[in-house]
Amino acid sequence: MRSMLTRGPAKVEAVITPLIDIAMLLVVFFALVSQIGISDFVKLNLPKPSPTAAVPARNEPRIVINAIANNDGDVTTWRFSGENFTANSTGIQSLSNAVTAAIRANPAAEVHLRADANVKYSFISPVLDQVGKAAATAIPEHVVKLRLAVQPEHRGG
Amino acid sequence: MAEAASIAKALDLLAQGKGPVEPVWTTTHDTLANRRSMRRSKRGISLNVIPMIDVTFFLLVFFVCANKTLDREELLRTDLSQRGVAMVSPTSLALDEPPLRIELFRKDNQTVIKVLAPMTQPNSFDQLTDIFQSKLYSHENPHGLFPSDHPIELAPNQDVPWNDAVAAFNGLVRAGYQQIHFAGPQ
Repeated sequence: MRSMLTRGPAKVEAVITPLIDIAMLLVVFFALVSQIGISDFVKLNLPKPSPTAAVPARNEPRIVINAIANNDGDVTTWRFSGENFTANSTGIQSLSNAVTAAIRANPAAEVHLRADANVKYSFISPVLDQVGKAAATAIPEHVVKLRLAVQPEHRGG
Repeated sequence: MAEAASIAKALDLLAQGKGPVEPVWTTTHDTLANRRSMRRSKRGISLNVIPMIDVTFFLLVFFVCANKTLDREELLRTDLSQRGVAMVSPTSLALDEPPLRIELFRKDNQTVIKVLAPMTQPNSFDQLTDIFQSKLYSHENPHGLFPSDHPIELAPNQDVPWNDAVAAFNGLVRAGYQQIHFAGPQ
């Protein structure tokens, strides 16, 4: 007790080094995550059904397929996992192979289909067909959890 | 002259027993330099981390916000088995129900809905929801024709925009049906 009194009031110091460490780690983490996100999420004018029955995306493993189209609604490129596939039979077959490998690696993953609102169904249909076949090839009797990406109602544009 | 005076003053002080005194052989200039260097060594090298923390937190907030923006889209849920096969796997005793087919095609730059069943044909996606909701069998609606797990096949024509195909799908989900799938390529 005496020693405490003789020592005088304790000095209060904020140790900020661990704080900076954690902040830097978080910055690096979010920088990496957003990079992954950018390669998966191409800026598209998604369909906007109203009133919508869609639900917000959950943090589940996902396989994202993007349909990049021109103004006439013709898909020019399919983008999957940062890789581009041309919208012809060869390209779709390559896409199917890539999706098969991805489903085999992660059977619980949802398949997110992101396509522009004006894309013609003739471009979507073969890909849906190939994704179904890819899942069956990867894991027999496997049912793919297909998710159709739409714009939330409250967002403008 | 000034130095001689300071030496005399120091000797006086020593004689009076009031030492120690500053070394008399140092000049005024030297003393100031020593003091300055001592002060500097006491201060040490300091790093101003406050701007670094500011920048770090700005970056953190930016990336958190950017991440949230990317995830803001919503999803319509469906299951995709091999195409053309209904989603429900019936038991060996159950009858395999044929799916109810809804076709979408373009006419005069508009998408037309055609239900391949003897029922009122919808003129819009909202009407599609209303009609199918009225046909849904439940405890509240015992006169309904279809249970919620009745398979429905949505068959958009080749030139139908994806927006309308999704709108029809959305309308059926809103009506309460769970087994909706897209028809294979025609």
